[in-house]
Amino acid sequence: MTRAGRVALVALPVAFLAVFFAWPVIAILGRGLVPHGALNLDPLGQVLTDPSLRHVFWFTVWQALLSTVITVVLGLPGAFVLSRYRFRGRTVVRALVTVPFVLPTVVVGAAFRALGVSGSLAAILLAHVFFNYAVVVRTVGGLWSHLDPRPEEAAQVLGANRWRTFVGVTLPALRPAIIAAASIVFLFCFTSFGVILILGGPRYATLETEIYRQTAQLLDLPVAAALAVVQLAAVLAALAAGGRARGRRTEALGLRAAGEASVRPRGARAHAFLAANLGFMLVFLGTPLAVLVIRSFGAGFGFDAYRALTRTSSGFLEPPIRSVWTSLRYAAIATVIALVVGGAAAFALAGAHRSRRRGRGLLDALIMLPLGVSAVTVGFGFLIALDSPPLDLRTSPAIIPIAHALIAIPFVVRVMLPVLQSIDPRLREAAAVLGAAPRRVWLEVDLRIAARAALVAAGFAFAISLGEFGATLFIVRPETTTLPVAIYRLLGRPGAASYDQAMAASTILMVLTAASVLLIERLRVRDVGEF
Amino acid sequence: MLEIEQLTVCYGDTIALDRVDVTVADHEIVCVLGPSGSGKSTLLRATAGLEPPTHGRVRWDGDDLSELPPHRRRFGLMFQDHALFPHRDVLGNVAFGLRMQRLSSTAVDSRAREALARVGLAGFEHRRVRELSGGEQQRVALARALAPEPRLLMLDEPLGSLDRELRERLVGELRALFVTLAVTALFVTHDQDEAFALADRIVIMRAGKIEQVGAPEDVWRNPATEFAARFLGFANVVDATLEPDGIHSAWGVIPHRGPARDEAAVRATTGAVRLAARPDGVRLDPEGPIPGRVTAVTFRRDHFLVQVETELGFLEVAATTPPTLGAIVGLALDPTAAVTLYA
Repeated sequence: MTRAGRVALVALPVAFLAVFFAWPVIAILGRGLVPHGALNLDPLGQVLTDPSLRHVFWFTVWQALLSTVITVVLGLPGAFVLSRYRFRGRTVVRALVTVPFVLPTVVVGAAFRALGVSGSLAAILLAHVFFNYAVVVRTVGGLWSHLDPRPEEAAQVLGANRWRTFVGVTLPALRPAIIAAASIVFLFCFTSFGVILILGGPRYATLETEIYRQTAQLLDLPVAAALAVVQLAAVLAALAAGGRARGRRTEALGLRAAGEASVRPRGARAHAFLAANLGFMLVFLGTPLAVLVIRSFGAGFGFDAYRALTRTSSGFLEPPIRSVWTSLRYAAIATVIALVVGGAAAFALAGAHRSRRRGRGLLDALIMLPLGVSAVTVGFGFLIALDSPPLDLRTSPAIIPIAHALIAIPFVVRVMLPVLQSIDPRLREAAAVLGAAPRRVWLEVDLRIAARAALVAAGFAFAISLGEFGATLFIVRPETTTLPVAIYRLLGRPGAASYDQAMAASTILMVLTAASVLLIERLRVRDVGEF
Repeated sequence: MLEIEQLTVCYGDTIALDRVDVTVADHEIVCVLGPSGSGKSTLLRATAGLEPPTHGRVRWDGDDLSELPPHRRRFGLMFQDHALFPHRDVLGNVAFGLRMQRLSSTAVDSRAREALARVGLAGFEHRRVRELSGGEQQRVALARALAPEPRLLMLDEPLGSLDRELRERLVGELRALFVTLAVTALFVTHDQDEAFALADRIVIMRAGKIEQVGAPEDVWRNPATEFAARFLGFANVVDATLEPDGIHSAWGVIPHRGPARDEAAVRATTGAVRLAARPDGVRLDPEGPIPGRVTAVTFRRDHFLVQVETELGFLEVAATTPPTLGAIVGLALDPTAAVTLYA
């Protein structure tokens, strides 16, 4: 890699994030704290003292905590079963469990509405657990399947029973993954938007929905900006706490190749445990989606609702089905942007870590920051920052894929960076000794090995863009209505016919996202796992 | 011909390689032998251009290679655990170096297949490298290093990760291959059997420095330093003095030892030296000059290795019948098996 190439790799993501992330966030801070050129803390003070807004804040925090605890408790046995037991169909189960995580929040909201649970705290918690179950299963299970089983065996030989072994040996080893999973789940629940908007009803509001309400309905931008500042601070605090908790334990774990540690379930207890967990996954994850699909066929069990989507109806400029095409097109563009910018960032970070260059920590943090900032803040920021020349993107159709790409970039980096960092440096040396010049080494080794990870990242970016709702809702225009926004509009319209149409559109969206994720899973199973 | 001159590599304060001189003549196989951490791998990496030397140079046929990056040196290096490309199949790995030479794709293909056949892996072309056994991976790595016909082949512990039986078989194959292809090779190992079986010349290294250079037989019979002696199995090293009438030590007086032409010179010198012998150069003998107590007996297939605690420390003896533990025994030296260490 030449010096100019290295600079370009760093400059591209930095410039992108500066314009489309830092600048909008700063604009929000400006609106919230310095509204008319002078520091004015009144909106902030109002937000912090207003009893109803304080209520919103506390509700946001404790529903997120509660959701996180329930998700982790329910997810751990699932992680165990899917990482330590070998049984037929395990790969398929593992893939299917992932589907809810990438499902658009509006689809999840619609599914739980179809089940008849909405307008209650239970509905919100259920939807959050449904949504994030896969995070725990995959993050913790990922480490679990690589964990050396011998310390556990040693503990048992030394006289510890199963419970003591689990608490004394396994749990501490899993701690980094559990903390990582819990922080992600907390973050998602804390900034949850679609689920709360659709299932919470008027009684339940979080910071995220409140920002939207203040902006779109009450048109009170200073209060909305102040709320965004409060949310940003809380998210950063949570990220820092999670990072600290994770950082404290960095000693190397004895890791094994995946699958080496998994065994066939033996004995009645193991079989019962496996069956119970698989049953739970089937009922808990399967039922809402099944009900969603069934409801989409309406009372007469036909394709009326699907047909209705192809006709123009009130509140829509075009037939709602057009939004499928719109969403697919935006998703494709967003994927390309996210892959180029995120890929450059991943290569730059991997290179910086390898040569221990200064500033790599800063770049690291900058890249991951959008993960911690809510989609609503991004959308809101776009609305108030990119509204004047030279960057007036309010009417540009590019604004939606750019917002989607911004949200997808951290995922792209997270998928690609570990693969790039795990490339054995001797592979590069071997290539060099065999006659490959530095640029050729990069092409033949780094790029080739990263290609598959990039494919996986592309699938994620595509699914994220397809389902993105919070940011889109701010910046969408009638002619750029995406599928999730169309579903939200349909859900908000009275009448059984609209409701059935919402279910039909949700089913289409579910199938599209599930297809892109299952495609990733196939690739992962075949190849990516082995690097 | 490879000439390594005063090559020095430092990592911060630690000196990994300290003014090392090695030459490898055309078609010669030189082995660097030493314990782990002695700087062997660093020597290969610096020769390949992967490690910038702090001092000294590497020459090929008189040309200084210092400014030449690794990919232009036309050297081959077989890495310790092979470093095969996981994203390419067997043929893709072997063809890599040929592709870098911009040969036509048919030439690349036929020469890569040829190289694979040479190491006995014809038919493995499209296997994935992760599916191969350790021995097969080793062969692929060898074929990959040989295929571009490097002017110097370097091997880092080529058989290190393999089990004993496989290693012994491959040593023979490797030797045959080297001779057929008339390669010029520099390889490093910590395994004496490997080194003595393969090398035309042996370089013994210790802590980044060269201890001794010589033909395998010479080095085996006449280690030059106490380190080399102990490394090569001379477990019994005792203080001695050179006198005109012979070598005086706890073993008694034995005749002067040394290469025949030097005997007169050796006879003329006097002073402190050390006397080294392998366990099979010492025997249990009730009349022997050194008494001691048996502290350990280990079965070694064709003999028993007996450890004896004496006033000079622990000595080791090879015995055909094992003494009982704790028995008081006498030890005697076979004078023809002893080596005098001047350094």
